[in-house]
Amino acid sequence: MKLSRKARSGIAGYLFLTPWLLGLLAFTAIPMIASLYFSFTDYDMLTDPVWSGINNYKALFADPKFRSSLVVTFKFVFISVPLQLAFALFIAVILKQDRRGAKIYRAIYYLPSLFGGSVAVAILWKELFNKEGVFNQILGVFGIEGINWIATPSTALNTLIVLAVWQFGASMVIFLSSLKQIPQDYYEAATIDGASKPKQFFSITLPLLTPMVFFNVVMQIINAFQSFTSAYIVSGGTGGPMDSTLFYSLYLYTKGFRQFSMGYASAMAWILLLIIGVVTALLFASAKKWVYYD
Amino acid sequence: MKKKILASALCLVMMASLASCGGDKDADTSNKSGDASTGDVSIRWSWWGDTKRHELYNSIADKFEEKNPGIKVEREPNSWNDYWDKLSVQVAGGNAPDMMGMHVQYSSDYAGRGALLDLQPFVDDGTIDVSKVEQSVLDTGKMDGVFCMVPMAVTTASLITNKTLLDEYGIEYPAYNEDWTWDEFAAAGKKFKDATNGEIWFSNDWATGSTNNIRYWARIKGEEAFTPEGDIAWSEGTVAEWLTMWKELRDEGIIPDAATSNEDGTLALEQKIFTTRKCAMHNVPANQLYLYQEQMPDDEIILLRQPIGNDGSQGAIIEGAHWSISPKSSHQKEAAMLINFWTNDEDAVNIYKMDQGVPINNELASKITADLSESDTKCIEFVQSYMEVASAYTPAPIGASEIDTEVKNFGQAVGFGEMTPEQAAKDLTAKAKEITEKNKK
Amino acid sequence: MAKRRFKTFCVHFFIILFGLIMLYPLLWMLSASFKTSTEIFQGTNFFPEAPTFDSYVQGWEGIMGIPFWQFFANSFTIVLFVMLGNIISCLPTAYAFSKLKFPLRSLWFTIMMGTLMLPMHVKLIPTYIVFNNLGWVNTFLPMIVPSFFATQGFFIFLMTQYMRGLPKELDEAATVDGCGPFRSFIQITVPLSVPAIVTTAIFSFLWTWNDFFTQNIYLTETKKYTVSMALRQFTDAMGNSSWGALFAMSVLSLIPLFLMFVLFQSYLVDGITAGSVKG
Repeated sequence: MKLSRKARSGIAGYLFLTPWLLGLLAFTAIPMIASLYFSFTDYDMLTDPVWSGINNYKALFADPKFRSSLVVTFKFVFISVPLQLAFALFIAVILKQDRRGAKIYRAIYYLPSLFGGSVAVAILWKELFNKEGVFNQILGVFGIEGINWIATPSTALNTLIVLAVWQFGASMVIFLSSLKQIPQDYYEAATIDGASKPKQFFSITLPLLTPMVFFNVVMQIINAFQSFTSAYIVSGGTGGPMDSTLFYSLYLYTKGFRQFSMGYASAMAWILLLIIGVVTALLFASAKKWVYYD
Repeated sequence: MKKKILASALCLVMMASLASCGGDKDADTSNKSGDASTGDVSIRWSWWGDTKRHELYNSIADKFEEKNPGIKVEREPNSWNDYWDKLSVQVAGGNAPDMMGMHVQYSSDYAGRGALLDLQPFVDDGTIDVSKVEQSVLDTGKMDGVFCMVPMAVTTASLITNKTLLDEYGIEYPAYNEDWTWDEFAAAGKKFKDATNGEIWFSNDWATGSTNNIRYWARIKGEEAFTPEGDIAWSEGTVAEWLTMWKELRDEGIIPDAATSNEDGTLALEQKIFTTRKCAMHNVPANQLYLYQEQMPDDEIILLRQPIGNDGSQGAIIEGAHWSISPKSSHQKEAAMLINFWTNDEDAVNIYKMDQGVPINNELASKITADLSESDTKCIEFVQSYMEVASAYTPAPIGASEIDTEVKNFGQAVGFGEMTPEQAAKDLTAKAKEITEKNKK
Repeated sequence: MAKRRFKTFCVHFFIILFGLIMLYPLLWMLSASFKTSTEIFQGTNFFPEAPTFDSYVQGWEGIMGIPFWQFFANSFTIVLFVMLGNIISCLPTAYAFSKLKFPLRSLWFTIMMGTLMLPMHVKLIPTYIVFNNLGWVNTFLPMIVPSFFATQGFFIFLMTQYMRGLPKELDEAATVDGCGPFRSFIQITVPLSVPAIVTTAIFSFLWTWNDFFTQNIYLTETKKYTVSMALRQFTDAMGNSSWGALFAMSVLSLIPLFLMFVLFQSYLVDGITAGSVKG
């Protein structure tokens, strides 16, 4: 039996997809559907869930902390992600060239992202940003008296944004991995044509890099919306001071694991999924306009 | 159509897995927990703590195995936060440890939902011997009238105090076994602040602390924080008075500003303002004295009582963490034996000594006093004298940890000047009532 | 010539200066690991007054008689399998999404992206129940097995984007040569995707090594604890923390992550040569 090319490609597609499909069924779908079910129940983890309809969702929209945590999270996402990616791209382009010491430089800039959610980060961040911290000592040189940045409601979130931007190394690695994918002869041709370095960046590098820029934007946004560890560690799990670092995921965790409202937390999770879904869909829709595939 | 079939298949799988979690786990618990009849049983013991405590409890488990051949103890040590994350998932997943630590912050939530076994039968049949334990101490393990937790040890709240600092500035304070009133406390604070030019704070901020502080204050005012039925028992006025008192102390510079207090709450012991000599007093459970003394070898650290009401009314509470057993455990008897070993075995007590406070077995508690460190001696004397005026309290209802978060938040709101004490007291009380109502069902 | 030299000097100067600022917290930790516990918080100097290895010795002794190397061994075991699993399962998935046409492709892709969007905390309990019923609690399997089934959407999406960026002419040439999807996957796409594979390896390593939440939930016996779990035992909100040991072991735990990057960065950055692109 001879199959058409289309059918063959279809079969091949599903064959290649098999591991993922199995994983989806076995490990991902069940927890996701279960959490959707929990979101319609009163579930305290210690006793069986009790169906409660849309009560959790109703309660959510009346919850001032739900709103304030959304605001905090949106601020965090839309400030930290662009900053982080701009840094990552800028440094990646500079470090792409094989100048002397490039390998060491790359490693240095990558190092902070190794820290992840290490408990040591909490201590480090306090060393930097508390009243007697290094940051204030530097300000002191210029005669400015600093405040306790981490424990003041209006500035606490900023320190977490700095923390996120500081760990730009991960995005940088992804940029580096695709920068070298750009054939060198494009640049050679451009140089012969007399194009300046910045012009080359905007006319060659950036367009050819758009698939990975797109990837980084999407992933960083998805991750930033679910940001948890940094706030959890730096605020000691409270989201304080005055809920100023109460990220959505941190509130969700507190509700679920600290206050035994797993049903409520699940409802929060699905609302977040919707929000991220909408943002991501918008990004994908916009991609046709600016992402360049060869 | 296809999608429908797929969806229902998924649902089935999910239901099956959920159903099996609810049911009895004994049937299919893995070979880890062997058969009792062969005398080869394995129980899981889980606790929170630091690495020093891990070592201590590890050797207690070794001792227990040595004296009870045929019972193996699997140890599950963890640090505080991770402990509670793990425990809730384990209980939810039907895989709770046999013996587990409980703390006032979460015990209401676990006990109220039937996650703790009634231990009275084991007391009745003699497996757990409580004959050498004060009734008031045992009462702290009763939740809703059911004895479901055995105290690990007893401790009380205290003011750890930097004696060296106070003496340096000529401040007077009571002896460890004497009371002082809030007015005396505030007056001493004022004097201290003037003497140090406001460079060192007198005390940490209690108003941004846990529910226990409000509980203490309510008792001074002749109230309780909660009723036995699980309602809020404090009055709005009482809380307003409490918050106002601390606001005044804060405004006068006797206690730190809100940002400093907030940070202090998240700092490691080594970095706290008390440890770094920026503050002369700090309210913590008395058994933590040695931790601070170790960090501050050049200062003499002592324990003082919490102030009493200006009319002389006492609010002191017996505190301490507890051991409990999971009702799903298939080796409840063996777990009860381990709890009894903890409570009444001289070797065990000699290992943990003052780790959690004063051991609850009176005979053994007096035996260990001989070879205690200086800090532990201070602690045991302090707690034993404070116990004479302290009493057990009405435990919080389900939702305690959520109420605790609100107490801290409203305390902070006043601290940061976003709310007046009166407004905060009103909103906090309303919020707390809402939480208890919600959980009553 | 002199002008150019000056320019190069400036570039290096700023890269190093900025790098030092970036590294300050790490250097602080490194320095702290050679201090005594008291000096870490009360000393005023950046450099240790009398460098000591005590913290390393204390940390290396481990917890409850289980030496720290055991935790390293556990972490390595998990990490190596997860790395392998992610690579061999995400490659074909990404290939399907980026190069093959099949019915419902965009639906499956949307679902795949959707799996990335649900916070892990609400999935923990149902997942735990599944693994508990499989008898996998207190084994490394809950961490390892899912990675062989491409459950980490991040890597699928990463590879998909990377493969979509690969020149189309190569596939077309291969098709003309009579190459089926399997041969062109093995012979063209995979070799060209080395940087994406290396990135996947690096990130799998990093995330699995640093993850404490999942590992803490599933591993109960102390001798099965991983590095990230063991590190967290050194700090305790209610008791005495061993900061020295924490910093010392944190430094050691960063070394494998760092080496991994140093060793693989040439694959990452050199990637494909111009020659292979031209085909």
